[in-house]
Amino acid sequence: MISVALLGNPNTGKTSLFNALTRSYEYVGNWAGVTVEKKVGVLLDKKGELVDLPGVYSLSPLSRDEAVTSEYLLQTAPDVVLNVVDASQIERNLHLTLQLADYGRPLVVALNMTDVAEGRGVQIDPAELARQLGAAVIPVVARTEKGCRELLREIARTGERTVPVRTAYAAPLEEAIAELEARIPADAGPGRWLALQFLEGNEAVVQRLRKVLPAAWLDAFFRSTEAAVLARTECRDLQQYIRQQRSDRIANILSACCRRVSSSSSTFSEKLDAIVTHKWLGIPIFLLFMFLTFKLTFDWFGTPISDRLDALLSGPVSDGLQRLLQQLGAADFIQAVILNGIVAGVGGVLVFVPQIFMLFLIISFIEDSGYMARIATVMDKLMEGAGLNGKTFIPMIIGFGCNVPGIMAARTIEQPRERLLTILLTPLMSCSARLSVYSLFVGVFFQSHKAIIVLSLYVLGVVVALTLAKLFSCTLARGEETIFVVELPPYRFPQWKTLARSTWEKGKGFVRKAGTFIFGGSVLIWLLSYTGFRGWNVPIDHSFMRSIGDLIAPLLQPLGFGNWQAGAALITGFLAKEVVVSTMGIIYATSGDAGLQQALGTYFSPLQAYSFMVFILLYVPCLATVGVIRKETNSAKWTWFSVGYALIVAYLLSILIYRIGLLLGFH
Amino acid sequence: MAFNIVVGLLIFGYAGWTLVRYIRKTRQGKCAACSLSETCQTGCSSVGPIKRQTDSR
Amino acid sequence: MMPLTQLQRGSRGKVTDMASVSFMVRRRLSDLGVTEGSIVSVRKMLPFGGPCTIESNGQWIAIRRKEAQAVRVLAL
Repeated sequence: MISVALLGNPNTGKTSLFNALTRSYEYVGNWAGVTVEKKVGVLLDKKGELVDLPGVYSLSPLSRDEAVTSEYLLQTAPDVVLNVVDASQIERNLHLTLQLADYGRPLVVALNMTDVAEGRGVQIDPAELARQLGAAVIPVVARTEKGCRELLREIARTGERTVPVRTAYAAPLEEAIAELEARIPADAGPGRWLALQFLEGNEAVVQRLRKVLPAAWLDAFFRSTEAAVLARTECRDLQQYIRQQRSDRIANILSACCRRVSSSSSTFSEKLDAIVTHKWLGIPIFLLFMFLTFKLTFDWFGTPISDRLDALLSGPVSDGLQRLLQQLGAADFIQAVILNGIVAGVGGVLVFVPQIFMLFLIISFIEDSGYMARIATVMDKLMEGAGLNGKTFIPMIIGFGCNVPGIMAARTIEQPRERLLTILLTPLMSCSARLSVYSLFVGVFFQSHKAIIVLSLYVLGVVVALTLAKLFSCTLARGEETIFVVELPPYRFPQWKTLARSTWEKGKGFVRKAGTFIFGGSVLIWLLSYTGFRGWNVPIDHSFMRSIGDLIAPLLQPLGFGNWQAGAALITGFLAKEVVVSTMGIIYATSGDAGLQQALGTYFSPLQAYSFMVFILLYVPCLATVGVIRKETNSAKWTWFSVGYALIVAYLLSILIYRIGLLLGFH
Repeated sequence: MAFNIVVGLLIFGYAGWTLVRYIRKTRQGKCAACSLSETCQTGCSSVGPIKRQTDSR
Repeated sequence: MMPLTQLQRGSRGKVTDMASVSFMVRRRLSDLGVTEGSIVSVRKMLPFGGPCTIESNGQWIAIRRKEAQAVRVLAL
């Protein structure tokens, strides 16, 4: 097995290519920074292992996801470097290619998006480019898997590979590189590349070299080299000088292999941008888009299907199962755990699958169409006011699907302070698990205004997040100014296949969770409501569940939902928010009340239900999210903080909404 | 009777196993319950914070 | 020479000086191929001093107004 590292600029289709070459399915999208960690897959021909790395513009990291890539190159020496080059942006892409050529491992260039480039009037001669670079160049269209077989064949040709042509730099720099290279021990890595990256200010490399060479000498060497080079040019610093030298070589390469027929920019993107990033209409259009999302999810598609599922489950399925169990001679205990525990708990969550897939479909659409970066732009002014930048809104949108990948996506944010704030605030984004709770409650209490009520909860989450961001950035996390640079990729209409895969991959997690963890949780919760201090099969009012719920019910009284059922559901809901639905299903099934929906109507008023939903939205991140916060912040203090502040904010806001609602005459 | 015992053991055994696995995974800080966790073969690679000079000039 | 923001909408300019742009933004812009000597044009400005969209080499980038003001260009 050979190891192949997949590198390239952000949003050039690395992950699409990875999926095509390994037949796996990884997360793809149309914005810069989809991949934030390295992923390994086995090549289709089983001859090698492919490592998908986060996209980088150069090898000097500015953000955490880029650091993953730099660290990888420092720690491992892959047998082949596979560089994806976006043909429509070839000039910028070649800067990375030249740095990879200096790395000294055999290089294979996958020339992607040649179709887009040709549409823009750019024609590239792959054979000539290959000659110039000293590397194999294979044109591919990653999205349609065109050229992938040729690429695999090229990667497999291990024996006859040559080292790519290195860039020769002007005199004082070239001498300095040679001097430093001679001092770097052979086992530290490719000397010339390390020397160059050091002079370019690559922090990961600086740290590495400090381990093998005296720091003081390195600093002095850097300063004297910079002075010697800058004396002869007008450049601001060494970094700019090296970049300029590369630009010169790129200009030479392109003049030999690239032909520009005409330069016409894509007018479709421009026209669409005139609308969606319109001066005044940008944010309203985003809100309208979200509103349509919930209309689709609740009114048009999701809920009608889910109601039918619910009717099927509580009618024929339950009855049939009960008859079957009786015929098999199952004990009452077994019948109870299956019907009141598993069917009520797992089934209660599964009926919301239609809504959740609908939401995931729309999130996938946002990701794949190129709208994501536009939302970031439109939101930037608002986010700046809160001490963040527009790019931090991207993790938050992903958080609408599931908070866990949302928090991971915060790795693309350059400033540590903004990244921390984004990690802490992403849990306030209403995730798909919470959607199942809303679905249940709006179905009972807000029949005619489902979409608008749910939209209000999502907006509330964002508003609370921005308000807290402002508060935290003035108090806890002061410091560096915020920066905002985002590239706006051209729009493209997502392929149905990609959209379907992407939706399924996200939704699958939800279904799997229902089959594993929610199942386990439901059985446990049923057991707690079946047993009590007096033994087995006690009435629900004497069960352990009741005792647990009673513990915190008094605390919840001011919020409007002081019943023990709500208290018990909130405690178990910490494990995962869907469990709130399971718990309620089980409690009401065990207590023998009519249906869950009718039972809810007797325990909650509409205003209390809204207050409860607000509390569910904010109260604590679920267990999995807490785990990721711990991992990504690497700090127990911030992890506890994220749980604590959420609880306080949820409590205060629920009281406020309930009391104001009462004053306004709602009930 | 045998049926009851088998089914009971199956249900409670499976439920216990899923709970233990979930809690353990989350404890490890691995991306449990993440919708990507199935296809993600390496888990989250950990990298140290980036130290950088504020301005090289 | 004038700030990028004063460039007429749709017309092109050549970047002459980026020294007063903040370090991180300058790095990112140079990653995206916008450095001294690049040809850029301003495409859009959002209200209330919001970000502006610039185009360079067929590629669209959004940056803050403040940073765009620090980029000096020569109208072409």
